[in-house]
Amino acid sequence: MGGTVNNQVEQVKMYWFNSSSGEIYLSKDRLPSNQRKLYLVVNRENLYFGGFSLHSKKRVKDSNIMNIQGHFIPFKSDFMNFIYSVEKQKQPDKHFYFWVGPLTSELNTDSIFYDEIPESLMFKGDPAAVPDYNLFVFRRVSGYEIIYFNGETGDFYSIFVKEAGQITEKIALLMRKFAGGWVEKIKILTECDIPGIHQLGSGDRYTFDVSLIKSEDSRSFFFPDFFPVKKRFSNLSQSKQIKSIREIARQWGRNLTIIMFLLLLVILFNGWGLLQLKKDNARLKQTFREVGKLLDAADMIELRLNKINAKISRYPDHLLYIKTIAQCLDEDSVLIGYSLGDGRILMEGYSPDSLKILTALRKSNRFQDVRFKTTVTKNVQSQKEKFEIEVLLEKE
Amino acid sequence: MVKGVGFRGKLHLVGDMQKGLVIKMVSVVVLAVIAVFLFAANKGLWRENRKMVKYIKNQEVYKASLKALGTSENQLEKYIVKIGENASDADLEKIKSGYIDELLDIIKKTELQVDSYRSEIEKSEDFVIFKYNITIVGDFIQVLRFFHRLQEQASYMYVSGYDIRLHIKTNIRLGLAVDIIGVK
Repeated sequence: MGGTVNNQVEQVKMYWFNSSSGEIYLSKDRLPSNQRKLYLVVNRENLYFGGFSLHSKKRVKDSNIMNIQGHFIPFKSDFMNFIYSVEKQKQPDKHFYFWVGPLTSELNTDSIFYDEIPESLMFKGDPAAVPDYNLFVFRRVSGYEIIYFNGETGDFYSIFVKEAGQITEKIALLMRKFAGGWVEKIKILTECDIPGIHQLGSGDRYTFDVSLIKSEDSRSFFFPDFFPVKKRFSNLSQSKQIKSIREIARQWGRNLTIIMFLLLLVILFNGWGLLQLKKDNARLKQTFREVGKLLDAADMIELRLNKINAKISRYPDHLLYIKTIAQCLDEDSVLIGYSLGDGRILMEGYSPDSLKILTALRKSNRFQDVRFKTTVTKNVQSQKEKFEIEVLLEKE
Repeated sequence: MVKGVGFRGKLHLVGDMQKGLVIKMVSVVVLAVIAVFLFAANKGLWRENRKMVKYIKNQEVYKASLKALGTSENQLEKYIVKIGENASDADLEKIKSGYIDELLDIIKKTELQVDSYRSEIEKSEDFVIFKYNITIVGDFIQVLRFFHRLQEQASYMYVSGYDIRLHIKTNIRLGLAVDIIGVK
């Protein structure tokens, strides 16, 4: 399976850290125990840090990684920071990868650190080819968490493994899942083995069997027969579904934005309309009040006129009555008394035929009632009747 | 652990998108409610304005009516006597005396003889009535002439009643009650 990069290794450095004195040594010689050691494997393009604690049971508690934006977060360990800065100054053009992996079964892995472009832990070659992929491995209390983050799409996956040996497999799985069209460009460093670990102190003799997972016939590591995809990670339809949901959500988001914009326009228009209407309303109310005053004045005058008319109409048109009565009297009739008041006329006089007068008055239709007030008496000598007629005036 | 990482898990990511959608939807609903309220307020105001416009459109009609009424009221002066709002009793007495002189003058012009007269003032809420009772002696033709002259010259004097009796040969005695309507 695959070739090796042994021939590419240019240099292996070994740093030692004396935790009691705080001194750091770059030495091929083995230092006393309870000291930490860091390997540097340097090839033409890259420089790999292999940091681990050899004998101490104390583990590095905090993982120190580059953050998502690719900015270096200093290690909490001064030792690490020092080495990083020294080597970075010496070899600024090289990419720095931190890898504390299963170097040997005897060594405890502490954490996996990434520098520069995080995905470069797995990607040898051109990291820019897959710039949006970021993979991180964290040491947890009961295992390791492998996190995949794609800044462009926002994809974010987290896989937990208990054994360090599973890390590579899962990373490959994530790579396979998300690499897409870049699969062929990706080479994966799966194992770093130090066969001569028992010969510590003679760094030059160390050979690192760093395998590139690539088949001889150039078949990609990512073929399914290498890593059967587990169900919960291979559910691409689920991914598609989520993508389609996301697409729908985006579409809805756009639609809602348009609706919000339109509603805002409607509100603005309505608000403007409301202001205009309020102005009109105030102006109209003013005019309305004036009209109201006119109406009130008209009502007052009308009421006043009605009262006056009612009062005036109570007075009888006495000349008309005189004229009517005069027409009803014949030439031989004489009035000796005529009074008007309290809605009636009282006539007293002599006539050869007083009944004729009564009938004529009744026929005039101008009076409500016409009647003899007293008995008609006839003067034998003059042959005239003395009459007294009461006329009730029409009520207005 | 990973500070600065905004998302955790795809579902969270979708959740964040959903969160955004929910915020947008809530905003849309709120905006829609505001729009509806504004629309309702506009509609109410528009209706009120339209109603007022209808009234105001008739303003000219009202003015014309008022003018006509005012004219009518002015014309009423032929039939009533206007008294000041704050006319005192003395003022009223003065007015009463003024009109009795006028009445006597008319009687005199018709060659009737005034036998006696008396006058009084009757007040009501809306009117002040000046009441005159006059006894006149003359012939009937003169009385009729007097009645006509009274109607022509003093249309504001109303004959409320009278009593005509024959009095010495062709003369008659007329007991006349005349009212003048005073309006404040």
